[in-house]
Order: sequence, then C-alpha cells, then structure tokens
Amino acid sequence: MAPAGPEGRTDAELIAAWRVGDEGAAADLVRRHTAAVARFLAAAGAGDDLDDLVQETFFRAFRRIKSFRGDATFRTWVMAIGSNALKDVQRTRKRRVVVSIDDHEIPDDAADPHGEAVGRELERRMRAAVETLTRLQRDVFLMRAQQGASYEEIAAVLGTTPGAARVHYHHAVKRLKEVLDP
Amino acid sequence: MMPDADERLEMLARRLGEDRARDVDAERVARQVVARLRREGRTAALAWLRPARVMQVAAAVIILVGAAMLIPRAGREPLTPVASLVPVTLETLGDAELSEVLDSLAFEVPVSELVPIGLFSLSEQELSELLSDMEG
Repeated sequence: MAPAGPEGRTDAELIAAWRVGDEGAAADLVRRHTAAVARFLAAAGAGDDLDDLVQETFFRAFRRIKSFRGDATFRTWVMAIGSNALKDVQRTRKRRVVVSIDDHEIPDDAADPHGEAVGRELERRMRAAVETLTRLQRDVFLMRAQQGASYEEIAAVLGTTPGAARVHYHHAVKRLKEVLDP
Repeated sequence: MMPDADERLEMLARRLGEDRARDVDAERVARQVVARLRREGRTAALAWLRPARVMQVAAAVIILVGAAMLIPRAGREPLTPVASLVPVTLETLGDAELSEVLDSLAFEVPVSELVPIGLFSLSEQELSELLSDMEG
C-alpha cells in the first residue's frame, strides 16, 4: 500500500490528482519521496549534482506518469527512472568524479570520533564495493537492501522476473562480501 | 549479539548516501520540478499555434469541405480512388502537395455548384456586371 502523507492522501490519490492537472499533488509526491530517491541515487554513484539529478528524475517520472501501472510502489518506480537518469549523466561525463566522503560525512561534534571514523571508512569501502557491481545488480541490491522492496516489485520496475531479481541480489551480496572482506 | 554478514551489509546499504540525501532540499526540488512541468505544458500548448501548424490545419479544413461537396456527386458517379484517399493522406502531405490537391479539387468542383455561394454576397451593381459578362 502506498504511503499516505501528513495530509492523508495516498500516492495513488496524488498521482490521480496530478493526472488531472493538480500541481500541488505533484509537489507533495516530490516532497514525500525526495529523501529516499536522493539516498538511492547517492548510493548508486551520483556525483556533486545530486540535487539536479533528483530533480531530473522526478521531472521524467511525471512526464511519463501514464506508464505507471501501479504494479510497484511509486517510489520504487521513480528509483528505476533515476537509475536511467544517472546512467545518462554518467555517459555524458568523461570520467565520473568520485566525491570525497570526507567532504560530506560525519558531523564535527561526533560523540565518538573513533567510532565515526570507522563508520566513515566502512561507508567509503561500501561505496567502492557498490561501484564494482553491474548496474542491474546495484539497482536490485539497493532497492532491496536499502528500500526494502520486494522481488516482485523490483522485477516490475526493472523489466525482469522476480526469480532473476533474486539471483541478481545474491550475486550482488556475494560480490560485496568479496570486496569488503577479502 | 553481533549481526551476521548479510545483516551488516544491509545496515551499511541503508546508511549509504544518507548524509548526502539529507542535504537535498525537498521543498526546492518540488518547486523546480513543478516549474519545469509548467513550462513544458505551456510549450506543448504553444506548439499548436505555430504558423506552419495553423496553415496545415486550415488547409486540411478547406480540403475536407471540398471533399464534402464532392460526396453527393459520388452517389451519382462511380467513386474515384482520389475521393476515398483524400482524408487519409492529408496529414502526410507537404505544403506543395496540399496546394496540388487543392488545385485538383478546384477543377473537379462544377462552377454551377459554387455560384450560389457567391451570389448572396454580391451587391446589386456587381450582380448587374456579372449578368452583363455572362451575356457576353
């Protein structure tokens, strides 16, 4: 079931409202899902232009809202669109700039600097490990592990079968373990 | 209890990108997306008012009216392939082709059927001149 926002309208209701021209409904959907979509894109390798990429993702999603059949949640569907947008961005770059994790992570007032440093290092390695996955493995892994999407839902938005999605997930986990714990 | 490797991996995955995502202003993204959608909607609407599009629509209307005038004749005479093809091919014709079709229709339409349309708009003097011309 699609989540309902503070105003009580579900995603399906907001999508229906947008389809008849309610701009406020589109804005509500963006507000509701921006954090999750941004997290997915950042984990998938988005660079400094994360803001722009999130914006482009939602723009593309609303333009093709007619193709949203509701066999996955709106959020998962938007993430698949975001993955395509990310691919387009990366294709136009000569070489993707890897953003230093030091620029973004861990507030200065961390209660446990040592623990935070370990966490930061783990996250850096995790990000590097995710980059070694194929695009499909990466998307399946992040949708499943980060967002908790079902295999059926993932298969619907990525154009594959639930069985194949499950296989991609296990290959991704195996690969990540190899990279993180050689 | 220590989480196993799979759980640890999922925990790391959940944390991945969290801090950077926090920096993204959802309100600003929402405003920008709506503004882009609005701009695109306006552009799509304006596309219908482009001069070339208007000319195409006008030409299509004229040809359809002409074709409609020919239909009564089609009942009396064997249907020609041209009459049946006109509505189908209109959208694919270029400006020059549309002009040719218009010209060909002008020859097909009998003058006697067009005269009554023009007579009502003629003044008394113009009618007299027309009659004089017809008398030679």
